[in-house]
Amino acid sequence: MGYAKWSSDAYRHLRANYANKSRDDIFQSNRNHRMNATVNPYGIGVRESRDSARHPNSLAIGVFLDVTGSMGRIPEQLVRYKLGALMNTLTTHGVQSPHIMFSAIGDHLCDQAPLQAGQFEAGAGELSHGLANLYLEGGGGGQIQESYLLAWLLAGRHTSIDCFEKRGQKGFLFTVGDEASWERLSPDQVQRIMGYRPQYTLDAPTLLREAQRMYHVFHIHINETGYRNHPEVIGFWKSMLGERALILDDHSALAELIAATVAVVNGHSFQQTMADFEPAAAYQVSKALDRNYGRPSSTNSIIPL
Amino acid sequence: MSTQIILGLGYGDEGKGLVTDYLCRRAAHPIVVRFSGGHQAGHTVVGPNGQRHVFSNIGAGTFQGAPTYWSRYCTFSPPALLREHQQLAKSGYPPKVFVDALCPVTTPYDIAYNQLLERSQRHGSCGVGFGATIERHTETPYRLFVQDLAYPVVVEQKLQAIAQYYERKASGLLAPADLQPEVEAWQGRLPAVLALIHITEEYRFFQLYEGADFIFEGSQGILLDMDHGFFPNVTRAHTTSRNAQAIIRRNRLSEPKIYGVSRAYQTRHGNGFLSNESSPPQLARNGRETNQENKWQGALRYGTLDVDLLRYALQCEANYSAGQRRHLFITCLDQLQSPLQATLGGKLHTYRQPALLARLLPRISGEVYQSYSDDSQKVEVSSLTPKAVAE
Repeated sequence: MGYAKWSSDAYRHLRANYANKSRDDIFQSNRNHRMNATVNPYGIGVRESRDSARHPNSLAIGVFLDVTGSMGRIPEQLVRYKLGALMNTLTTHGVQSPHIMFSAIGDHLCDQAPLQAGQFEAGAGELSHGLANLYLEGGGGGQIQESYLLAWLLAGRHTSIDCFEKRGQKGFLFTVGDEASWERLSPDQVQRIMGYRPQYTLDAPTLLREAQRMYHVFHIHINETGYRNHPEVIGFWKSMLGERALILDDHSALAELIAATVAVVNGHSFQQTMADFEPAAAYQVSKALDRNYGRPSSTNSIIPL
Repeated sequence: MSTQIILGLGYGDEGKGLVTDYLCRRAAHPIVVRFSGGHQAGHTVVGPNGQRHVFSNIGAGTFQGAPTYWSRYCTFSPPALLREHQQLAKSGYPPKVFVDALCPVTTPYDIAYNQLLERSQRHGSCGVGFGATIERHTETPYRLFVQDLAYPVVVEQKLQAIAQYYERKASGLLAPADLQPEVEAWQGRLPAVLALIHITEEYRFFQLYEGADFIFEGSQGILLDMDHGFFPNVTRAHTTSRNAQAIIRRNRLSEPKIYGVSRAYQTRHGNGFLSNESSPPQLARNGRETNQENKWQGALRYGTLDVDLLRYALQCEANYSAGQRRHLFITCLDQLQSPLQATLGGKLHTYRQPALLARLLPRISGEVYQSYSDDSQKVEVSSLTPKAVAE
């Protein structure tokens, strides 16, 4: 998928439409209390991101949002307000044709829908509908782990992306949430979720390595819920991903952070990217990317660096 | 937002570098603060790609992206910083270093005098001029601060005075004229050093990084403390949390947690008292031991763990951190060939569960962390729940 073209006008229209709707009006699956069949990964083949005449240089970006507990407000905020900022920042910073796949992550031990697999999309309507298709189950357990490793499984084994296969350019994979990941998936669990039975138990480091073959893998820790500054959670992500574990103190800057990360990894200047954001968002993003956090400058050192 | 203080409970070399790296990995916005000793410290950390680095002039959280704040209680050696900064930048981890404008600076004269003294006295010094710098700064008016380095005229004047001071002090054994080329080279390197560091005032720094996670990286061990150690084999620094607490109070940081670090056995590098040296622990050969035999300190010495001395160290520390949570961090457990042994009142006991050692230390009120000296960076945590609740 991903043949449509992004249009800010179309998004503005959609956004106005969402303005007076409730969460369940937008996310229709919430009314049915089960996930939409189109995002069910059971029996999934591959999700494709393909080049086309309109998008000769597509770039696959997978965004896996935690929808357990209070994290459901993030997809809602994205679809209501932030999709435009995300797409516009990407397109103005050297990514001509982003193909974004919005998917959802839950907890495979206790949720009905621990993984919902979206499609790689490029148009305003398709992206909004893709987000609105997700079922915000609001489940999850009281442990400090969710099934982020399912994102790596899906990306590593069930996607086919032209940016990597044709042009050798790695795609991007973001998981967004506030907890650590489970470390293991038993064959039975994979059978229940994906519809096939692997021979062995799958573990997180292996799945991560597989995903990293085709993608730049990042995790964004939303550092404002009950797990704010939680040493176990942050320790887990930093040992898994090192500097690619990004800690975001304000979830409303999520779209900017994703866009800025893609732009910076693609070689765009950090300062220039920040200059295009509102100051509050720019501050949160630079804090998360740990550049000039606290803004040290000539004003606070005798010798400017 | 949190504050944590890492302290060695022995004679240094406990594994404070490993603990600093571990705590930085578990913090959202870590910043490492050095608050005692100076550039003579040697804190080994295994990096993400298996590379090893001994941190002396820069905080041990650098591999985790943590900036370093070099407080005014630490000596600063410009050429040593330059060397270490270049090493780290080359391996892909360019450090970010903030230095308090009031840090004392070590000059080539201090190093020369230190080595001269050590040749005759053998106090267990590393021979890098730390002791001489502190002595000059605390007991004489011949001071040189980091802020002075930006003004070549000031540096020149102060260096001349320092040269005369040492000439008198060493009663002719130290000729400043011999050191002249070395001092000129030292001055020549200053601009390069100044380009790599941020010189800052303390309160501005903490204002700037308000809300970050401050990790205070101690140096040496409490048994080397200038007040509480065994004179004359002590270091000229407060190795308890005393300096850290002063910084915390001045800048109104949150209440700290204390991490007392000890190896699973005792070590001492250099001369001085070491209990249980006659019954050393059975250790696996560790080819990666940072403490190799050197000219100034000799070979690393070993002894079985001594619970009485751990209690003593924690008692010394308790004067400065009353009411604060103290955790115990036992490192190098894989080095032991037999289960953990320790003496208590002169008798040798065996502890099959190392965590139970903390039951013998009433001052430990928090968790027990166990770690190993291999490169896996594995850390196990066990909590002393009944006592922790009672506290």
